[in-house]
Amino acid sequence: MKHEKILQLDPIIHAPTRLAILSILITVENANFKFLKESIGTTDGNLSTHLTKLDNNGLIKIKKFFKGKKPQTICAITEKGKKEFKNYLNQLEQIVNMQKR
Amino acid sequence: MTQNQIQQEISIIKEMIDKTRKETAESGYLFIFMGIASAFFVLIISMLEIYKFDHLVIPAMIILTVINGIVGYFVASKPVTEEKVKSYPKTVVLSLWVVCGLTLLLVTFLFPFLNVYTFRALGTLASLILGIAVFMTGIIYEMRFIMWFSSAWWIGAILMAIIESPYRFLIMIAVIIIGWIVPGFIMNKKYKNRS
Repeated sequence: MKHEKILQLDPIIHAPTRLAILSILITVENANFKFLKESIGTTDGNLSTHLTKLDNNGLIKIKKFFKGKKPQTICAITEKGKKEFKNYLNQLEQIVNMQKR
Repeated sequence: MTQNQIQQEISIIKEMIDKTRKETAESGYLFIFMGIASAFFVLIISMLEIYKFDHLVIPAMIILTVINGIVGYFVASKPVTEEKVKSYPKTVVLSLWVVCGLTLLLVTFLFPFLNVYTFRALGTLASLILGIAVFMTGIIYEMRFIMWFSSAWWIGAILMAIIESPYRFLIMIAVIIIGWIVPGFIMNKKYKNRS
């Protein structure tokens, strides 16, 4: 039973940086790259890699555009992302409950 | 999965949510600015009425509304262009105030001229509309104190409907201070404490 629960934890969300990204995006309409980078405390390259992975799995959507001459990246969680994140929290809660017993 | 790993995951989630909340907190500057600008607006219009410059009241109302609109736009849009995060409550509150602002424009500049009601009803109607906007802002931002302060707008609306005096504008100014400027300062204090 315990092993089943561990296996069910979504590996896409499980990585700390991706978990942090989704934790931010679940509470807002969207956030820009700079805010995500400052909040998580990571490098541009690392954040970019994790954002791409989440985007490829349909958990977030990324919008890139130019504001004046500056490139802007805005990220928002998708409906699928919200659902998966909620499932992830439920599974985490179940594991905590199991360990309490 | 060990207890430590779980706690680490939970602390990541909590930390990120807290950081985002701080970033998206309402500063109260717009409430303070709109309150002061509106009090100034009411004072000028009332002075023109009291000193019998009636012919200047409508042009002054139009000029002051345009000035308030332009300055208000810059005060409101500055944080929007600089903001790194867009929250749902901010978007909803902005839409609410745009809708109430448009309603206020119709109430002030269209219906009295169509003789739907006299200019005397303006203060009461404006107070009711702004009361709804302030009350709803309190609900959306989950700030109970704003909801309590918003009751000043309804009390003011009733008083302005009952009292017949050229100094009725003082009620409106008092309402603006209690229902707008004071909550704005409280919001600002909370915002500064959070940052």
